[in-house]
Amino acid sequence: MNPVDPQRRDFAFIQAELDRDRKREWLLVPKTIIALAIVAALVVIRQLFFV
Amino acid sequence: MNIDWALVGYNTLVVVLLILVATGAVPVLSGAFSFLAIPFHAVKNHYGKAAPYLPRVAIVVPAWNEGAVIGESIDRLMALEYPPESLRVYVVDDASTDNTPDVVAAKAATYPGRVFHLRRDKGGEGKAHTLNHGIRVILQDDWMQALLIMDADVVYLPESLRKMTRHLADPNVGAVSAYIREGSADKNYLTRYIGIEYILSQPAGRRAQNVLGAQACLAGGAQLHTRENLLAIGGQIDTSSLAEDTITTFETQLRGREVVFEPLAIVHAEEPGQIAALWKQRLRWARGNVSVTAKYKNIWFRRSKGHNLGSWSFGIVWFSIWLLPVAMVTSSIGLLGLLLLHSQLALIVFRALWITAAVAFVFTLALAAQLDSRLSSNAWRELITFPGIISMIVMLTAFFPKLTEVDIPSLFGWHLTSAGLFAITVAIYIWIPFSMVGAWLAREVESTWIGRFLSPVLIYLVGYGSLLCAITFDSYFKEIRHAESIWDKTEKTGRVVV
Repeated sequence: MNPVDPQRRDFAFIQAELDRDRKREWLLVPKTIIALAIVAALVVIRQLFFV
Repeated sequence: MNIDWALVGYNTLVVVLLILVATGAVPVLSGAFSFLAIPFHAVKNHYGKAAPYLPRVAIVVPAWNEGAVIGESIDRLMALEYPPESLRVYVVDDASTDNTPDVVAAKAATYPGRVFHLRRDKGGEGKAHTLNHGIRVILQDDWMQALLIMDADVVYLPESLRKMTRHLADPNVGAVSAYIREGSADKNYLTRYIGIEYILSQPAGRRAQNVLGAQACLAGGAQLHTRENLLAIGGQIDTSSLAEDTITTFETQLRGREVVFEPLAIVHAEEPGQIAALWKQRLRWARGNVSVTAKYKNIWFRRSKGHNLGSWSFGIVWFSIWLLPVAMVTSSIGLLGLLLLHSQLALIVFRALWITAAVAFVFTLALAAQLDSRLSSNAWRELITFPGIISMIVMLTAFFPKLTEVDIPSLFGWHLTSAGLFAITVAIYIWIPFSMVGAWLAREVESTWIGRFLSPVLIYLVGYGSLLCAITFDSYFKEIRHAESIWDKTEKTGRVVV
């Protein structure tokens, strides 16, 4: 197999990279849910033990 | 009808004080609103209109006494994953007095036809003047299709330029910005705080601005313009203020072109490791923002078909940052006034305000930590203490009142008297303005023998946000006094690593 020169990436490679990056942005949704879940946990602890 | 004027006066005063307190909630809510927009970047992003595109890129690098870093920077640029025949580097030497000309000349010989050394005989006029010297040369022929403006010390990850140019395939895009990540090899507490700040403002904040449709500022060290956009904004960078990057960003959008932030194009930069250097840099930025706010006074909160700079969401985000120190002070004045006037109402309002702040703080930092998990895991102390340890105690007091007022004191056999509780309450209510004094003190003692220990301790206690607010406050005073605006370069020593 010929080694690929990283300075000579073809458009198919760049398009695949673009598709991958676009898909990766969906990870923002679970990340936000995790952040909101941490907040929710704090609110529950407050309501149960500190009010 | 008898009017009880005393009651009217009292109620009016209470309402005024409530409004003052509410000013403190605006920046908090605005920040939370921005962060809630981030997940929508999954669907509202520019990737759908991006496409493989490798235009001829001219990179303009302003350099003043960058001998320590410029050679390696050029080598790294030459090694970018980008077709070599489509990449040229123009180093504009701003009358350097070190070995910068020799280093650049040697690199121009190593990379003939790809690296160019431009020399200004009169230097020190500022970055914009230096850039314009290079841009004038670059625009003399039609080789350049896109112009990348960068700093001499920043390090682009190999794929970064390629990830930026793909957005220029859309003719509506005028400029693209990358994520400037703090990349000093010898990190200290301050560079780690800056790293967290950059996560909050870029992969978080600028992603949100992508969603809201208006960008506040292209990164000075990583902004890529189309030739058409550069010509449309006058073929040069604004030299009238200290905020040339922000003005370029606004001018691009005012002409109906889109500005895109690409979070996956990563550029490492060396940031100040001393409060004095950070103060100098941020004072320049803050004063620049004052002039931008005044220059574009006719766009704020006025909707336009061509751009989103006049949207309410963008205006509130902009002014929340710019006026944050004022809001902090007015909010404390309101709380203190309410405490003296109507202590029960003051307690309710205090809790509402600080619980909101605590929730927003936990949410924003929990999300930010995941957006650059590698950097934030190396700076977890600064991540947790970002608002300051004392402000965290205030948040705990509001969020878990029983814990701080009863449970913890009782562990030590203490019982708070009403006078003691009142004194603590007053201290808590007025803490925020005093935190800025603490930040100022950290700068003042930094250069003394005790400063090495005391300055970091003070910043951990008062919070990095208070340090930035203190600098913004300083910019207000400088503007009021019409202090001279000078372009004072932040010194770089080549500490960046990848």
